[in-house]
Amino acid sequence: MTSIEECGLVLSMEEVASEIDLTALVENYSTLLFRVAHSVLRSRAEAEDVVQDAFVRVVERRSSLPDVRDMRVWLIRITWNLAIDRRRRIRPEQMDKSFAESLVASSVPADEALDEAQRMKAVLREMERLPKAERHVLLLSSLEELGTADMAKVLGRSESAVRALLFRARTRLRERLERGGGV
Amino acid sequence: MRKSSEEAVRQVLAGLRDAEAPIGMERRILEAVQDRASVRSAPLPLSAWGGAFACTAAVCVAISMIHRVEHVPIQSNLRPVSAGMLPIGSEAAVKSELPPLSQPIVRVKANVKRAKVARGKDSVTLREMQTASFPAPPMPLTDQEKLLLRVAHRGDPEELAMLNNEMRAKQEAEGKTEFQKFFEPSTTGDNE
Repeated sequence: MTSIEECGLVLSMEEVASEIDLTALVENYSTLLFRVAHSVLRSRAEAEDVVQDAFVRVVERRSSLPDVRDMRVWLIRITWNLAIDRRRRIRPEQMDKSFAESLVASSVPADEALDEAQRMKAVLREMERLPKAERHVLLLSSLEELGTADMAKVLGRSESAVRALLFRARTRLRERLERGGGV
Repeated sequence: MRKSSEEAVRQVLAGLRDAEAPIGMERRILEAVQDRASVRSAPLPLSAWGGAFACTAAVCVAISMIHRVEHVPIQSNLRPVSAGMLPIGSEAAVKSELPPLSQPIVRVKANVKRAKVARGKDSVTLREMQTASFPAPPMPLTDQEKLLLRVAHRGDPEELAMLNNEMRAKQEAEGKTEFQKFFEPSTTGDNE
């Protein structure tokens, strides 16, 4: 009986320690991870779910946490992969429509707001049509917390490759938007 | 046009950058994660241990009872009692000693049934043992095959090389040449 109680005590102490770490992790990184997920999903609810999933993964791999060199990049990469995986399963068009509408200022008259929302939708649509690598770099570049080095680590590419991809993505997107005349 | 497209792209990227997390997200995430963590590492409560022990004990008792019932001999319920062997005056006493007739018959029938099932099981097992197994066992190896197997498993490069016709022919030719070279001069010398 004593051993069971002792065992429970040890477990609870371990739990407390992990909770403290976990609380700190959530406080430090949840906003950044939310933005990472939101850049892919464009839905606040879905992005929150993904962040939660990411932290659950962290709990599941608690034993390997000491081996993680760069916690920030590791968490971003988990969230990024989960978000991309989730985007395949949801209907992104609906998300993009809502997000495009949310970008338009509420003070603008209704007809202008409609045009503006159409422009935003066109941009999002063309972004989705970009080659995968370019699209990923462009989306990550929207997060000001991430520098080129971070993006390179998350995507597993060199920094020069990331810079080149970003340049190509912007150029291609601009050309397509001008050609399409949607903007 | 160019300016407007760039502006639109910038606006979209700014919208992504400035996305704000829903209020209370951190708390919800922490709760969910802590729930998961506690589910994963919570020790079993004492009541659960007690339940597990009780279940185990019940299963053991049930198994032992089943075992005992199966081994009750059929003859024990069929105690032959012949009226002729008893004194006449003791018939009433015999009747009173004998258990009610309907109960043993039912029990005997049940035991006979069980015995039949057991015999049926035995016969099935016997039949399975006696029937030829399928697929048929492999044919025994011929002497050549055994030799080949031994050579291949030993992996002696010379012996393996001997399996190749060309190499064997070449080696034999070389041996023959060496033999010729060695013996021809000496034989001529002897003759001389």
